[in-house]
Amino acid sequence: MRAFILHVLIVAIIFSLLSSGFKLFLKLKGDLDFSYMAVVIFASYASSLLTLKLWFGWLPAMWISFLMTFPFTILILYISNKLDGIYFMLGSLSIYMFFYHFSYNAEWLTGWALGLKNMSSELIWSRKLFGLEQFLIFVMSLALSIFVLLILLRKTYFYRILIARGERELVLKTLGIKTAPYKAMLILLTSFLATIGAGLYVMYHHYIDPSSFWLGMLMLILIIVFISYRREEWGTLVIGIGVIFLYEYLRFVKLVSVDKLGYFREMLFAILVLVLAFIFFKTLQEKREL
Amino acid sequence: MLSLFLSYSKVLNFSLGAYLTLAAYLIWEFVEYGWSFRFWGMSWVFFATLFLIHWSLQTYFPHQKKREKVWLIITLALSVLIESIIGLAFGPITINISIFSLAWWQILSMLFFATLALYYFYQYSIVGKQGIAISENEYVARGVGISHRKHSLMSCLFISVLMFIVAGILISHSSLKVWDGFFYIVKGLGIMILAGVAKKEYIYLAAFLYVSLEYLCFVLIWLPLTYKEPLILILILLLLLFKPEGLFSRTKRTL
Repeated sequence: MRAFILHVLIVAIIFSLLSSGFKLFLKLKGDLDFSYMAVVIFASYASSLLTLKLWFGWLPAMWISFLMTFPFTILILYISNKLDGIYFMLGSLSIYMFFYHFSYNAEWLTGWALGLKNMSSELIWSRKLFGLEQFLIFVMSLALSIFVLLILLRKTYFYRILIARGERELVLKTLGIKTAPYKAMLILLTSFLATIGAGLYVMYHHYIDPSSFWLGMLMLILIIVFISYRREEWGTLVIGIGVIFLYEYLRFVKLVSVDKLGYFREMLFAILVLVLAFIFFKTLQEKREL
Repeated sequence: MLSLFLSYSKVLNFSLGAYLTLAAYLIWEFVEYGWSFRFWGMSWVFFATLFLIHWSLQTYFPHQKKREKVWLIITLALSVLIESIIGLAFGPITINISIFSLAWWQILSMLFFATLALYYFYQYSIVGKQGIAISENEYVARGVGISHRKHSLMSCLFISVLMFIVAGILISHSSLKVWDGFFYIVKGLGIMILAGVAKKEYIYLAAFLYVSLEYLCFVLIWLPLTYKEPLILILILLLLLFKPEGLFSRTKRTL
């Protein structure tokens, strides 16, 4: 029971971090950026390979992975300049699905469907994390610092500029004001959150395979984002804990056989996304022009 | 067929692939076990979700512009829902009905008739014309008294018939797995964008071009077959970025 609670807390914090990045783009730009999931896939494999092949610790591997996501920033920036609204979502969805397939097909690099395993829990210079307690303390302190930084960011003039530019991009473009630098900063920020979340996911599970990043993960992130949209980072964390608890608890519900448990969980969470999407977009439509 | 349907309705409906898979599993169930309990249960899932979700979308999001984004999320979730229900009911089995293996001319004639039905529905039937009017300009269509909700339900009925025809053709000469539907719809979407959203008459040519590209890449150049799905995704992205109006449209289109 104790191990289960620790596990739920750790996974919930990781998913709250991942959801924060996804939510940030949605809030500031008004679009759902599915390429965020591509960054998560890329950063997960990059940090796994760096720890497995080059024996880097988690911290340097995470920073190098973040640097390696810079081409994504340029690509997403280019796409967001060329495409808008539904077309941007479609373009970003294509990037996500491309990277998902690539992680399956580039078996020489990603280990095909079998994935990569035995990633170490080394942080830096042979300092390792032992046990769930140590891992929880580490993840919690990291998440708390990031959430505090995000809350402080929200109080800055820079954040208000980001909101203004996201809300009325077309007007600013018409006035001849360049929006690209701010958009690039926003994408960099979300990529950073994606890299941290992905790195923690890898270090905690010691194993990744392409199926971990398919629509199931996206559904979980969407649920947390939809419910916590109007809340601060602490709200995201609390909702993340609730959602992940439900997701993990379903393992013990013996309504279906073990081989069909995955389908059962996906079915329940797809229903949840359907209901939440209706409520979320309906309230959003009344409060803010999308 | 999927591209043609997407092109006519001008809606990005990701759940169509899952419905195609469900229709195929229903045909397979009927051929193998007849009027079984599972057949009735899954038929109910097919029609109930299709009608309920589409009706709710039209009711809760009556304005076309506001519906676009929620439509994408809802149809993605619906796709996962349908496919997981198939997985729950049938397990991870691969299906085909080889006892009905059709000759190439039979497949072609069935496809021809299905295309003709689609063409007739949209060009000559009142409901089809109303559908085109709604997809072109919903506000004007509603202004002249076309009920988008009624049209949506009629359209669902038509989708159902079409899905069963296409699914029958599909599993009579090929096999199908639970998660295959999603990639059929992505391919359909890619071909629609390749032809140009407004250029329905070029859909078959675009499909032919795409298949030729697949042949070139995977048969002549010997690229690994596993890269089949990434190919269409790259194509979609490149087209959206550099030629969003499609290959056959002369008018410049900005997104």
